[in-house]
Formats: sequence, structure tokens, C-alpha cells
Amino acid sequence: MSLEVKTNVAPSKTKVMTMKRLKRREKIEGWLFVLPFVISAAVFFIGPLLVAFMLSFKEYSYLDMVSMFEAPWVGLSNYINAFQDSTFLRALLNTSLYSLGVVPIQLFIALVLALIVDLNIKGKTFFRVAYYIPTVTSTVAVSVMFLFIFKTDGILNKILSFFNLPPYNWFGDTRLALPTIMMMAIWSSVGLYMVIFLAGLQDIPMSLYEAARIDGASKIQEVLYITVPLLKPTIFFNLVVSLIGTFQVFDQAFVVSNGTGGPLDSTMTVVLYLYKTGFRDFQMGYASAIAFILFAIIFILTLIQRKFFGEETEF
Amino acid sequence: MKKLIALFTAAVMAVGLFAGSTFKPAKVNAATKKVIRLGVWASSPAESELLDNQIKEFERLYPNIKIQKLVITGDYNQVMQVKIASRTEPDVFYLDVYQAPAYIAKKVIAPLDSYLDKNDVKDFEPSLLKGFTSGGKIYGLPKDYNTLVLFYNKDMFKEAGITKAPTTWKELEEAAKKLTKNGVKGLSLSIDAARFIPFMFQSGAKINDGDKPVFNTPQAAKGLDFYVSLLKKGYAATPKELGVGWNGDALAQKKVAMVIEGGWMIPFMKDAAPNVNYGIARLPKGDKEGDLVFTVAYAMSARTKNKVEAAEVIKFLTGRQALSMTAESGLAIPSRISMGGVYTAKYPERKPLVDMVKYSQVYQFGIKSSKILDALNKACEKLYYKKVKDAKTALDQAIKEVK
Repeated sequence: MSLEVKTNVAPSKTKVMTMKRLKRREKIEGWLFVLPFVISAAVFFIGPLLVAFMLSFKEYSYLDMVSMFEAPWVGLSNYINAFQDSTFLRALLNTSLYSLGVVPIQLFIALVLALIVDLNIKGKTFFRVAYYIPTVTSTVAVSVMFLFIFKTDGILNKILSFFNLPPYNWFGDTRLALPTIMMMAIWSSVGLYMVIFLAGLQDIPMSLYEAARIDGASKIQEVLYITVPLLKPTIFFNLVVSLIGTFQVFDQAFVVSNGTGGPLDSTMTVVLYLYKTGFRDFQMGYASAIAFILFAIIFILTLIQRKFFGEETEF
Repeated sequence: MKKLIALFTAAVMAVGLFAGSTFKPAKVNAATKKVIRLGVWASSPAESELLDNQIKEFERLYPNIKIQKLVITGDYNQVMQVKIASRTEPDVFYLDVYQAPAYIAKKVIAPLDSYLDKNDVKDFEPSLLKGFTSGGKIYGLPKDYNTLVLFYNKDMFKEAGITKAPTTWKELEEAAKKLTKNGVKGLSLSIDAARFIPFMFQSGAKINDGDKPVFNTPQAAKGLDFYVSLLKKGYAATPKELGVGWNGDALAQKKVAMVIEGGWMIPFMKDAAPNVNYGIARLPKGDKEGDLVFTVAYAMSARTKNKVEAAEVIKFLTGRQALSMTAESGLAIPSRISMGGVYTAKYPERKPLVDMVKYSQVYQFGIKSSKILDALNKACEKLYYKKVKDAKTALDQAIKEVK
């Protein structure tokens, strides 16, 4: 403020100066406010990301006496090896199957549940909470619980035997292990997507439904022609989040197979394989390359989805 | 979100401050007292108490050295790798024999020969020491070990009219057949290389020759075939089929009459099934005796600044005095030949565990250990799920995977 007194320029010019000063101050303040985030993002996210990218072109293990910056470069061979590695390809297939199974079923169930708890029914708060609880439960705890349900003398086989059906060795059978994990994933995360759908549903103006009702639309028509189209951004969001989540599946496969991905690689997922190569086989460079292949896949899939679901919706 | 991040940053800074302040006293001590950091994994309260007592005894005898115990929780191998990469690994740490080849090849741990008394080293069980030896140099001193033996339910044996534990493959199969009735299986066998490799040894096979895998021999196939045949004939079942987590549960819940496990079964059975009357017997033999032995050593970081003091710590913790404490506690089998006698004198029923060590090879198969074990597990799974016609084919496919 003292500057204003000292200068003898025209008042209008002074005003411009202070405006500039204010703008600059605002900028600095703005940066100060976001600084903690910028620093933590740089240290814990961008930095590791760049290092991992570098490692994917190197041969490196944590046990090496040289630092990761001095480790030898191997060019693209980590990436080339990955596509010739039958276990990795199997892991990729398993993960894709898992994703293909889990994402649509999970989102469909979540949408139906959201529509139900959005109605004015008795005890809707109870149902909202009940469906959400699995989401806040640790996946490891969920996996252990499912181990109890699916074990050979577990509840599920007891129910099957009640209907005179033969018991199955759910986690021990090469064809059943992956679907079993899929069921587990759907059950445990459906609540999360339900809550997001619910938020989307409540964003849709009532007036549209009222207008539709005046035009004589049925309940099903209301859902198909108003709810679903207007819910498109939410569906897109859920689709992306759910797809990313399923491609990164690790905990369930780890617990169910004791970290081996067995029986016969039937529960080997990309992230589980990445963990195994990095920490068990001491091939951090190769593991980083796998991580970036996974990143590329998720990125491309997200772009494709954006093409189909991404347009802005206006009310 | 931003608030959260800000809070997180604040928390990180606060932790940093605390860490800074706690480091100070250690530095003050360092002038007069050398501090050796000892990395161990989390174990049962009884085992930590044993180690604490050993440390206390050491500090009494070596007043100028202080041991700072670092208990690593979570995945020990993973945490150690991160610590080594960031050059903050402890001076002395536990090293599983399975990990030893990688640690030695990468020169992460220092050879100990120049600090050791050659005559004293002869007191260690030679098969254990071999697991930590490379190029004639010793890289770790084993602290204890466990062999695989046969645990059997004595009551079930009596009821089936079997008077003694089986000593050969033939007797094992016959006993398992007799004991399989009323929903109980004779034997619980997991599809796990750490359990079926002894059978391959017993039929005269070798798994590796140095770093080269050589397990696709007719002998190896014979051992694997016998193991899987017990499952296929229905005299044995896998823990998964039995609906239990591991072999130990199967014996504790009286779902089987026999399991092949190590000394860790003893405290487990005491807790989980004190009413099961079980016995311990040597592993039945095939064409010859054979077994696996699991062991852990104290190793020294190649980067430690206090090599002499670190070596003193290792020598004491694997010395006669410390290991006699181990023997007395009964928590683990001491790695010294002279202390094996102390252990069996106090716990005569556990003698088979000590007897088996002379027929055993350590659970370690060269630098490719983890690949070899993955391939062997897959071979066993393939045979079990009938994806291949015989064990030899499965092993031939497996050896290709390793190469």
C-alpha cells in the first residue's frame, strides 16, 4: 500500500499496478494453498511413476548393489519378454475374463439396487447402509469369509447337498476358482457403485418425470428414456472406475491362492504376477514393464469408453 | 481431498520430527557404545522372549555393544528388499535359506570366514551350513532348523490295529489304506513342492545341480508319481479337498490320521488340539532315506560399518550358550550337532526331527529356486488334474519352463 503514496503516476495507472500486484499475490497464495498437494503428488506419485517408467527399460532388482540409476539399460527387451511369457499372457487372459464378467454384472446389480433404494420405501436407510457395508470391509476379511463359504465342507456345498447336487471344490478346481473370485468381487463392491448411482439419480430433476407422466409414460419407459440417458455420465464414471479396479485385482487372488495364482495359474492376475516377479523373482525392471503394459491397456480402454459414453449431458 | 492431503503432509512432517528426536540418544551412545541393528521377523511371544533373553545375555557379556532389535512386520522378504534398495538394512538380519542364493549372488551379505573359528564351524550340521556356503565361503550361520517328519494320530492307529508308524513307502500306503474309513482319510498331502520333494529325494532324484535344474529324471518321476498316486487312490486328500487351510488343521480336526509337517506342528497342536493324541515318526523311506530341511541363518549386511561387532553378535547368537537356551526352550531345534543332544535329552519324543537332518537337503535349489519350485508345483498340479499322461511328461514340460 505504501507504494501508492510514493508514486506520482495517474490514479488509473496505480490501480492497474495494484491489480497486477493483487493478481500476482493471488497466484502466489494459490500456489501456497495447493503446495502440500503438489509436493505430495510429486514425491509420492509423479516421481515414482517416472522412476518406474525408467526401470521398465532396465534390468534391476532391489538387491543390486548399484543404485537403480546405474542399473544397465536393456532397451525394450522387458516389454518383448512380457509378450512371449506364457504366464503373463495367461494372467492377462484371466484378468480380462475377470473384468468382462465382473464389470457388467456388478454395474447392473448396482443400478437396480440404486433404483430400489431411491424409491420411497420403508427402511430405505437400512438397505442403503446394508448394501454399502461390504465396500468398507477389508478385501482380505471378505476373502477369508468367502473361503469359509466356499470350502469343501462349507455352507455353499451344504446348501447344494440339500438339493441333492454334488459338492464342488470351488477354489481347488481350475475352472471354478476364477468365477468364485468374481462372485466375491461383485458382492463386495456393488455397494460403492450403488451409492454413486444413487447420487446420479438424485441429480435428475423431478420435473422431467412429471412431464413424462403427463404424457402418459409408463414406469419402465421413465427408466429407459429418462433415467438411463440422463445417468450416462454416472454410468461412464462407474464403468471407468470399475474397469480400472477389476484390471488391478490382487487381494482376492492372493488370499485364495496363497499368493501362487494356482491351481494351474487359474487365478493368476496381472498384478499378482507383477508382485511375484518383482519381489519373489527379483526382477523389478520386468515387473515395471508389466505395470506399464497394464497402464496402457487401461488407458486405451478408458479412451474407447469415453468415445461411447463420454458426451456431456444437459438437463 | 486437499484438506486430507494437507493433513497427511502435516502428519508426515510430525512423524519426521519424532523420528529425528528419537535418533539423537542413539548418536550420543554411539561414541562410547557400538549399536548393531538386528533385523528379525515377527514371531510368537515365546520365541521373541527367547531372542530377548539371548540379547540380554549378549549385552551382559559384551558391554560395549548394544543390540537394537528391529521387528519387521508384514512380508519380511519384501520389506528387506526395500530396505536394501534404500541402503537402510540392519547390520545383522535373519535370512531364510531359500533366499540365500539371491542375496549371495547380489553380494548383499558379507562372507564371515575371517571372523570364524574353523574348528567351531564343524559343530554346525553340515547340511544346514551348505545352504549358506558359496564358492567355499560361509555367508551365514544357521540358528535353528526344522525337518519334515510324519505326525500321526495314535488313537486312530490303535483302532485300525496298526502297531507302529510306517517306515517304508509300502507300509505308508498300506497304513493310509487301512486308516481311510468313516469319512477320515489316511493322509493329508498338499500340492506343494515343499512336501513332495522329499519323495523325489527318496527315489534317488536330484532337483538341481548347482544352478542347473535336473529334475526330469525317471527317479524324480517315480517319487512324484507315488505322492500323487496316494491322492488318486483316495488314501490321501489335499487340505483344500478336506476343507481346511493346511495339513496341520487336518490332523487337529481329526480329518486325517497322518500328515507330513515340521516341528512347528508341536506348538500348533498344543494350542489347536490339545486332546489329539499324536506321535512323531521318521519320514518313511523309499529306495533310500531323504528329506527337506528348513533353516534360517544370521547374515551380515555387506554395507555395515561395524563388521567386527556384527560378527560378534552373529557368533554369540549361534554359539553354544545361546543355542543351549534355544534347546532348553524347545521352540526350535538348535543348528549345532552338540546341542541336538541337549534338545533330544529334554524332548525325547521329538528325536525323529533331529534324526532326519542327516538325510536332508536344505530347501533351496540354486539361484533359480523360485522358478524351479513354481514349475514343480505346476507339474504336480497337472498330474493331479490329469492334464498330462504321466509324471515324466509333467516334469519334462516343467524343466522347459525353468529354462
